[in-house]
Amino acid sequence: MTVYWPRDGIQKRDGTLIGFRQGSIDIVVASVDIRVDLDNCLALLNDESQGHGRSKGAVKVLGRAHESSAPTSVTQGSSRELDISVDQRGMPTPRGDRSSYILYGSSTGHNGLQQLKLKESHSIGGSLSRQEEWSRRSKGTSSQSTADDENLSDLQLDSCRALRTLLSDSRANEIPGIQDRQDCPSIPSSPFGAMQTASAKAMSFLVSHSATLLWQSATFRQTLIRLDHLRVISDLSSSQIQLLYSMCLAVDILLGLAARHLINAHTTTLHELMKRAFSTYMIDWVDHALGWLNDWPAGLKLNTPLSDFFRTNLGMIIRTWGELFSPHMDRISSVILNQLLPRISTLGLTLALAVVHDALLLSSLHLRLCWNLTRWICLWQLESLSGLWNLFRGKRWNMLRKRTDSYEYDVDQLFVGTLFFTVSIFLLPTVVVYTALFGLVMCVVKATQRAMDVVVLCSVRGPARASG
Amino acid sequence: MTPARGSADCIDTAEPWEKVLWRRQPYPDNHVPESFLAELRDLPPRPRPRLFALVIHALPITQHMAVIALFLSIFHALLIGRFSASSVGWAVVLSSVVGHFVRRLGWREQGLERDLTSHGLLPPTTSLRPLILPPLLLSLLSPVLGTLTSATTSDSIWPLAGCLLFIHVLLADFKTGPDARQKYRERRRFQQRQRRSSFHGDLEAIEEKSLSSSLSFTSALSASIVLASRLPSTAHVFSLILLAVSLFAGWPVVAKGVREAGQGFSILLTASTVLLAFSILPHDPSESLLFTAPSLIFLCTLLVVNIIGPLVFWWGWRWKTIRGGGWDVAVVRIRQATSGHG
Repeated sequence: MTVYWPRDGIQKRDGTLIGFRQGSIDIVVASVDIRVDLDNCLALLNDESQGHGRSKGAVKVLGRAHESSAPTSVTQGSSRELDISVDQRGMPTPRGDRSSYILYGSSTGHNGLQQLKLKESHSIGGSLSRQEEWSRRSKGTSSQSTADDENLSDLQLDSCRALRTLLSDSRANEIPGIQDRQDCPSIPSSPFGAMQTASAKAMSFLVSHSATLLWQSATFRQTLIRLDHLRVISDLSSSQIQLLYSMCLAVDILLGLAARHLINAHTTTLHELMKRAFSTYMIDWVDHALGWLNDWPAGLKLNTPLSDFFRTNLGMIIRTWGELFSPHMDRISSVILNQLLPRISTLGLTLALAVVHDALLLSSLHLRLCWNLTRWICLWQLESLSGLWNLFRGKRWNMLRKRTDSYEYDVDQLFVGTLFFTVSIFLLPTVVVYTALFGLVMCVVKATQRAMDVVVLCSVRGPARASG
Repeated sequence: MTPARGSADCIDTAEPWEKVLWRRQPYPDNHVPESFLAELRDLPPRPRPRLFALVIHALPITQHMAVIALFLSIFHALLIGRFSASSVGWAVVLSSVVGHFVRRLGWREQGLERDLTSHGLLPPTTSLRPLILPPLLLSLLSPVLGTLTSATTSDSIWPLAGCLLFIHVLLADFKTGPDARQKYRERRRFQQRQRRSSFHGDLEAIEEKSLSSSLSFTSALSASIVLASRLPSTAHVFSLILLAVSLFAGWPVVAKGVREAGQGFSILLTASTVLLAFSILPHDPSESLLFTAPSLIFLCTLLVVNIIGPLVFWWGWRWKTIRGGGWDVAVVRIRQATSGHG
C-alpha cells in the first residue's frame, strides 16, 4: 500500500488521521484530537473542500497516529485502519514492512512528490530541499495499487494542499481538534518556517528579534499585562479575585485621571522641565564631563592622544544626538504632554509611567551607545591583557588541562608580546576612566527607570499576589 | 603491664625505644628520644675555592652590569642630543648583522650549531624571522610608544625603569656552560661512536631556557619602552628599543658563547665591555672622567661585584658545614659505552 504524507509533517502527533482514500492509496491530510467530534470536523472539512470545487472523494478517517520513537509496522484492521507511529517532527518513523511513503506538497513543484525511503523519515525534515521526482512504485506494492497510483489525480492532491493551507491559517480555530503548532517544536510557528530560502530565514530572524525588541518597551509589556488582567476579570469565576483585580484597575484609572489633571495643570512647567532635562542633563553635562576628564582633573593623568580620541568621538556622538533632537524638543514635548500622556493616563497611571519609561529609554539611546562602546573596548583590553601577562611571565594557558603552564617563547614572540603588554597597561587607566564615566551615567538612567518600574510593579503584582 | 599511651610513666619503662614502626612500643607517638639526630655527623668540608676562581665566576655579572651601563649611557646621550637617532640605529643594525654572521660562522666550525631541520609537522623557525618582525612592528608602534607616558612626570618614570632593570638583573641567566673545546671533543667522540656502531641516536644539544630568563628579558624590554617614551622623537624611540632588543636578547647569547670559549676570552670580553661603557658614560668635558657621579657609581658597582663579593664569599666559607647521616647515599653511575657494545 502507499501512503501519501504531508511534506512538513502532521501537527498532532497523537490523534486521528484524516484524509482521502483511493484504492490502496491513503492520502493523509492532517491529524485531529482523539476527543474531537469527528463527524462535525469531517463535515466542515468536506464543505470547505467542495467549496473550493476541487474535491474528488470525501475526507474520511484513515486511522490513528501515535508518538513513538521505536519503529512499528502499520497495522491494518478489517477496515484497513492505519496505525502509524510518528516522530518529533510529525513524520512517520522507519518501518519494517513493505509499504511506501510519498511526501507531497513541495514548495516549488505543483505537486512535488518525494518518496520516503525506508529508514529515512528522520532525515526528511532536515532535507526538505530535495525536489527529485521519485518513482511511485515501491517494492511489494500490488498491481492494484499501481493502477490506483496512475488514477490518482492532481485534483486530489490539490485538495490536500488546500485543506492543509486551511488548517495552517487562523481559521483553524474554527475547526475543532486541530491543535496548535506548539506541540511540534520542530515545525516553526512562523508562516515562513517551512520555507528554507535565505529570505525566509532573514524574515524569521527579523520577526523573532522584532518581538524581542518590542518586549523591551514598557508600554507594550504593560499593555499586555493589563489585557491579561481584563481577561482574568472576565474569565475567572472566583468573585474575590475578580474583585481584587477590578479594584486594582479602578485605582489605577483613578490615579491616572489624577495624573492627567496634574499634567494639564502644569503643562508649561513640565514642558520646560523636559526640554531642560534633555538638553542640560543628557547632552551638556555629559559633554562637559568628557571635557573635564580630558583636562587632567585632580591629578588624574590620562594618556593624552587616547583621551583626545575618546573626547572627540564620544563627544561627537553626544552632540550629534543633541543637534538632531533639540530643535524638535518643543514639538515632541507638546505631543507627549498635550496629547499622548493625558490620553494614556485615562487608561491608568501604570500605562502613563510606562510611556515615560519608554520616552526616557529613547532619549538616552546615545548614552547607551557610548556605554556599550566603551564597555566593549574595556572588556576586550582586559581579556587581551590577561593573555599578555601570561606571556610576560613566560607562561601559557593550557586549554587541555585548564591551567597555566610554563612555555618557551621565541625572542620575537616575547618582543611583540611585551610591546603590546606595555602599551596596553599604560592605556588601560584611560579606557577604564571613560568606561566608568558612562557606567555612572547609565546607572543614573537605569535607577530612574527602575524607580518607575517599582511603582508599576507594586500596583500590578499586588492583586496577583493576593490571589495567590 | 603496658603503660597507657601518652602517660609520663611510659618513658620510665625498661624497654628501650627503637626506631622501628612495625612493632608496638610503650611510647607515645610523639616521643623524642635522647639519641635524636645523633646519627648526623659533620662531613669533611669541601676545599675552600680560590679567590681568583671566584672572581672569574663573577665576570658574567660584571659583563651584564657593563651592558646595562652602556644602555643607560646611550639613552642619556639620545636624551640630551649627544648621539643622533640615526647613528645609534645604524650602529645597532650593523653590529647585529656582524654579530649574527660571526656567531653563525664561528660556532658552526665548532660543530655546535643546532640542527634546524624539521622533525615534525611544523616548519622549522628560520633565523630571519627575529630579524625582520621586530623592526617592522617597532616602526609601526613607535609613534604610540613615544606618547605612552607623556602625562607622567619623569620623577615616576626613573624609579619605575630602575625597578624593572633591577628585576632584570635579579632574574638574568648568568650561567656558563662547559668549555666549548670540551663540548667539541664530546661531539667528535659521539660521531665516531655513531660511525662504528648501528646506533643512530641524535645528540640534542638543547639547553633548557629557564623561566626566569624570559621574565628577565621582558622586564628589560619594558624598562626600555618606559625610558624611550621620554625621548623627543619617534626615530629616537625606534633606535633605543632596537638597541634594547640587541643588548638584552642578542648579546647574552653571544657573550655566553664567548665565555664558553675559554677564560681568557671571558676576561677580554669583560674588559672591553667595561671600557666601552666607561667611554660613553656621561661626563662634563671639563672634569675628569673618573670623578663624575655615574663613573663613580659604576666603579663602585664593579668593585662590589668583582672584588668585595668574592672576598666575602671566600671569607665566609669557614662557616660552611655539611652534615650527613648513616644512611645509604645513592651514587649515580653514568654507564660509559665501550667499543663492541651496540
